[in-house]
This record gives sequence, C-alpha cells and structure tokens, in this order.
Amino acid sequence: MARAEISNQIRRLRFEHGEMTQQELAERAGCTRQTIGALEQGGYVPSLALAFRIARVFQVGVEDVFEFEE
Amino acid sequence: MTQSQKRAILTLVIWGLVAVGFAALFFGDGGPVTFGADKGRIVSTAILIGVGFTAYFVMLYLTRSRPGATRVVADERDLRIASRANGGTLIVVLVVVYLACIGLWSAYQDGGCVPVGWLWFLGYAAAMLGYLTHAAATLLLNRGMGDHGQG
Repeated sequence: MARAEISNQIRRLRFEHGEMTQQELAERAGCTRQTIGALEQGGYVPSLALAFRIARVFQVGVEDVFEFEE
Repeated sequence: MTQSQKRAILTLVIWGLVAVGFAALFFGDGGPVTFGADKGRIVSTAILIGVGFTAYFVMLYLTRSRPGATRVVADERDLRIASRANGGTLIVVLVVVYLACIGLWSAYQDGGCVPVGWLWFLGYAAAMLGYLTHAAATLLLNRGMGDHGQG
C-alpha cells in the first residue's frame, strides 16, 4: 500500500484571514504554537479533532484545509 | 519553546551534572572495587542523588502550568512525543543495563564474583540514564516532528 501523505493549506489560510499569526491560530484551535508550526512544515499529522477545530477557525471544511494524497 | 522542551533541557542539565559528580565519586579514590566498603562515598553518592531528585522536582514545580493560564501548555503533539520518548527510554535503559550485566559477567567470570560497588553503579546509573534519555528523546522528537523554530 502506498504511504499516505496529508498536506495542508494552513499557512495560506492564515494569511488570508487577516494575517493571523501562528500563536493566534493556536489559541483559537486549542493547541500550541509549536504544533501549528509543525503542521505547516509537514512534520506532524493532526488528530481528527484538531483538524476539525482548525477548519472551524477558518470557517471552512476540513478538506479545504487538509488534503489526503497517496 | 514548549513546557516539555524547557523541562527536557533543564532535566539534561540537572541529571548531567549529577552524572558527572557520580562518575567522579564512583571511579575516583579506589574505583568500583572499594566503593562498596567505603561508607563515605556511599553516603556522598546518596546525597548527590538526593540533591538531583530534589532539584528535578523543584524544576517540575517551577515550570508547572499556572492556574488561569489561557495558552495551551501541552497538546496532543506533546503527548505523542512523550509517549514515544517513554517507549524509547524503556528500550535504551533495558539494553544498556543488559549490556552492562553481560560486560560485568565477562570481566569477572574468572574471578568468581562481581564487586558489590558495581551494583550501586548499575542502580544509580539506570535511573540517571532514564532521565537523560527521556529528555534527549523529547528534544529530538520535537525537532523531528516539525517546528524548527520558525514563526
């Protein structure tokens, strides 16, 4: 089975939403600034709950933030 | 820097200093052969380890989450890092203790017995190795799981 990769548009969405900082997004999504940084660099795959919370901050669907690639 | 990273760095400092002091006490003045019969060195080592534990728990208290803090201190990524660090630490400590036992057996099998000082060493070293390995693993995993400090 091919390895699944999950990419995201968090950085772009942050800048599109009033140049939101990583810290601001982290506080609104209920995680640490370091986790947002790790997500943007592709070094960490979030749980479903965190993915939904991040999508809710941007008021978009989860699939508008995260993309599943095989 | 997250709370877990801060604690890992301070843990490395505290237990690194204790390990150096322990090595100086254990290998100096007669070495492992005379350690078991030297009450002075045994007590000094116990005091050193006690100071290490005290410093460690004071550090945990000083780096605790403050009541009423709004920022998340430890999230799912920190828990995942801690879980992996725990697993890695267990394996490292088990392997090192196993290899140390094999080494002692090889070194002393002709003599018929292992100096009791080495048992003191194994006990204290295993505890210090656990703390040091967990702290190092935490820092490495933080680095490996993204967030290279870029804002």
